[in-house]
Amino acid sequence: MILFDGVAVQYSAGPPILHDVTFTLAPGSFHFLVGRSGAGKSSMLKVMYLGLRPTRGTVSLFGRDVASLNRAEMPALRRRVGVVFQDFRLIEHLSTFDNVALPLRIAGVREAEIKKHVTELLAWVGLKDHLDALPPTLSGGQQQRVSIARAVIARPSLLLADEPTGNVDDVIGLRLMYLFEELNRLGTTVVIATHNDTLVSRFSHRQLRIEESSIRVFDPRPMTAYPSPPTPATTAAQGASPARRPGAA
Amino acid sequence: MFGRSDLPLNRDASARFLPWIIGFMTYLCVIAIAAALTVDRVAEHWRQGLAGNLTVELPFPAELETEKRAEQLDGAMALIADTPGVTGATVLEDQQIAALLEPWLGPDATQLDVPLPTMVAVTRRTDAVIDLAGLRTKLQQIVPNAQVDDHGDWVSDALGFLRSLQALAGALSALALAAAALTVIFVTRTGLATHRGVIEVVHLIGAPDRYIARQFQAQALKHGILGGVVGLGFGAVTVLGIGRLIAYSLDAANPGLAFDFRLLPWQWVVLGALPLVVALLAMFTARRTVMRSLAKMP
Repeated sequence: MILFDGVAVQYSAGPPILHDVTFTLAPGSFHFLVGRSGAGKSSMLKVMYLGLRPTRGTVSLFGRDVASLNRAEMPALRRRVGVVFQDFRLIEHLSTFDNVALPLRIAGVREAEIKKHVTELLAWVGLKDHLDALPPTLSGGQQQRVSIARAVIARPSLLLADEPTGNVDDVIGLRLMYLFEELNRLGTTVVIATHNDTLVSRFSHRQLRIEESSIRVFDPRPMTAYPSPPTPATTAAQGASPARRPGAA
Repeated sequence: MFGRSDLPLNRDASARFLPWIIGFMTYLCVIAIAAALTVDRVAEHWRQGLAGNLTVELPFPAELETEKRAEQLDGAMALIADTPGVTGATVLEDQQIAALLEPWLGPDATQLDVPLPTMVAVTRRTDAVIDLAGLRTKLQQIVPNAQVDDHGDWVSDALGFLRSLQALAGALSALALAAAALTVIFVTRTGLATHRGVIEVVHLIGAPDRYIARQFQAQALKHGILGGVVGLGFGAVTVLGIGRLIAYSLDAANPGLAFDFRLLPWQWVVLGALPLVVALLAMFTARRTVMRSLAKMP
């Protein structure tokens, strides 16, 4: 699903945000991306959703080396990725309904289907009474739920969420986590960036830990919890340490 | 085509004046193209009016006796009549010469103490080729200093002038359209900068460049049609007004030179197509601007 091989990210002449990051994520896996604030979680997600090109290294998404993609190929790939942005990035002049409907409209889904699915999902996240509300009139938590609904409405193959429960209370936070788990059970690969240790400890999912600009994979579950023997492609994601490139220190 | 838009382009301050600028440019185009079409009609009118005519000038000396003068005139007229291709020849009366000279010398032209030549209006078949130099030589053997004029030089100069006016009108139209296109580019770029955040989100959600471009081009097409129709309306009123004013002025000043300046139906159709041309120009300009700008995004 996702392969990072020796990836480095550096903004201008500043210090490297990520350095020699190597790992793979298997299709259908669920990972928390953890690390202290400013560790590079958002940058890593940006690379994953094709919003940022790495300074060095190779990134492969859905089996495609992103460096070899031309512009015309990117939209189709991006449509397979749902993103919950940390700052929501809702379109302020569009209603809640239209914000959530956007991925379906871009994908060319018929309006009748859009209405059915969007209404249903917004009811599920507790916003059925706010279909016509504009984002600025919603609370932070409500905006976050709209953002999540927009990310999952098109049933993406990969869901990337940046602090998706940061602005909601525990009850709503849990409800959203169950939504992510449900999507994961249906086959969506999920990566959730968070610094909420309570949330991470409550769910026994694998963790990608960013430490010292590099990555470490941690699995809180016993090895017997794996549903099937790990394949070479998933070794790094399922093991207790990141994959090592040949020759890497 | 003008349906829902993810980008609030209709709220942009820079876009609000776009229909007015397009309207003004269309107005200028209408005036310039109408002028070019009218000039074309005038040129054709002149060309057709003079194509079948020759003028022969017979400058008889004042001291020439009347009998001798009549004898030379008869000889010249016979020579003209016998020239192949000539269909008729008429000696102009003093009143006719006075009418021709009136615009330049006033109503008493023939009363002035100026020797005027005898003028012969010659008609010929338009397809006939007449040896003007040979005819002149033969006429000068009868009447010294006789001249033959087929108005070719005058027509050529006049048509050259009219063609220059047409070229000028064409250049003005092209400039107006170019200015409209540049305005669309400016407004589109401003829109791209203003809505960069929204465009990034829509992009990251998976919208291809053409999805975003479609919203800008729909907006440009709408403004193009609106501005084009308004510009055409005001332009048509102006063209009609100027045409009538010129026709009235000429008719009052010189009934003989009166000319119908009203545009023909097919010429109105040409002008009527201008809003569509302007709108399509705006649409494709916006599309190209957006596609080029988005190509620079990651």
